Amino acid sequence: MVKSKKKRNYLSAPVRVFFHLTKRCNFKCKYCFVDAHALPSRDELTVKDIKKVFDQCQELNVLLVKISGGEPLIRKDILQVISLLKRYDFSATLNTNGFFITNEIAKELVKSDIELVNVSLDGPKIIQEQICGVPQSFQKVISGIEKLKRKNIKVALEFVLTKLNCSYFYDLLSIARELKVDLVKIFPLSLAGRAVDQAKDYALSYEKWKDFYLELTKKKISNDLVYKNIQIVPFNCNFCSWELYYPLPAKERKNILKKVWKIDLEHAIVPTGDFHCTAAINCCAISANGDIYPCEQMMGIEELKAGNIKENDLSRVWNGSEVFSKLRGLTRKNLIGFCRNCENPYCSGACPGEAHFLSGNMLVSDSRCVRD
Amino acid sequence: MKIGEVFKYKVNGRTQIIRKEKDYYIAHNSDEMATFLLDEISFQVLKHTINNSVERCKASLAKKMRISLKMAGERIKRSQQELRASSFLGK
Repeated sequence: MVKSKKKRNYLSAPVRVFFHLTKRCNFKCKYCFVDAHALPSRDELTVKDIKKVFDQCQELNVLLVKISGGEPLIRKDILQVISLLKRYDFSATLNTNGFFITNEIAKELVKSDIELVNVSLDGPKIIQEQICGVPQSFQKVISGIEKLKRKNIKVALEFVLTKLNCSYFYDLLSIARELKVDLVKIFPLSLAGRAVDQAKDYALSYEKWKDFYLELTKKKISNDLVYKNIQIVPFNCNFCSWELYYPLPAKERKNILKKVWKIDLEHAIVPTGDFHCTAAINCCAISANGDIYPCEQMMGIEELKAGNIKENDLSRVWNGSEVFSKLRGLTRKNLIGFCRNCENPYCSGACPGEAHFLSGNMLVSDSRCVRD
Repeated sequence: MKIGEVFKYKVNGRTQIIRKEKDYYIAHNSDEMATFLLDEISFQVLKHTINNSVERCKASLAKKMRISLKMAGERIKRSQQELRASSFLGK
């Protein structure tokens, strides 16, 4: 990793902590970026360990803990874990595939004041079951979402956009309207975990992405959508990533980004032309076995492991980890390839975690960008 | 406030946290499911708005900044808009 004396400004503590409760999952999505599986796991954190993580987040004044996995609701002790949350001041969100949501879980989520439940849904029945590899699962997921909505819990549908389901997105919006969910998030496919070997089959080409993005933008402008609260969430955390920036006509770009996608280029919150990755700047992540990483997208990269929650204090890792310190020293000048001198000052290229999974080097430019 | 210190308040029974950082304050609003950056004035405006009525906030701000009540009202309104515009990290 490149050494640099100058550090980017990092916060006194993480704003958000990604916390994976398990790596197990009953779904078999071919492009799972966590590489979750159905096998039993021996080194999963216990409820006692999980409480320790929550205690440390509270002590650090973390604002948001994002509970995820694997499928967190697959844990037999999940009710116990959820019930712990009400003791703490930080907000919490839950990521789930929705399959295991029961009335009991929904009730406990209400008591714990959960901020939002993100449910993965990659399309209507025909496509969802093909992607997750579990027949008859679609109705269970829908029923799970209905249980949450009956308890007035905020729900977001998370749609991973691929070659397989891009033509079904507007069907998903009809489902979102019917279920009265609060938000639909579109995630361009993250090329990490199992997705690395599936890129050819699933990742959209730039041209396909551009068509999808421009059509959606046009429909948003003309108010021609059955469901309107839609966010696009590129994995790379740039203030305005190439996916959102380059497809738009240069003359109208600033206006469209502000009005349609709520990205105000005049008020960029990171210095333009800087390195935008927020890993170890405002977030960190804890994997199912307690390993601490700078970000969720970097989980499993051995050289980016900064400790383990069973042995290390989160506060000490945040303030004293060499791995974190090196990441904070990165600048755009350290990038390899075209991203280094790109004319879009609001983007600093690929997600470093993703770049590492793809090429073994987290500073490599994003090969999917049209500027390549 | 020192860096890392927090100001906590409740909205609809739910705790909200504002944390002091080097150049700004950072807040997560769970109702809006978004994180905000606040400058010093915005933080003071927010703090006053929570603890007092908007009228008292206007009066306090007008006195502190030596401006008219009307201007203080406009500043509060602008701050609230800026708070929304600065929404980020919402995912």
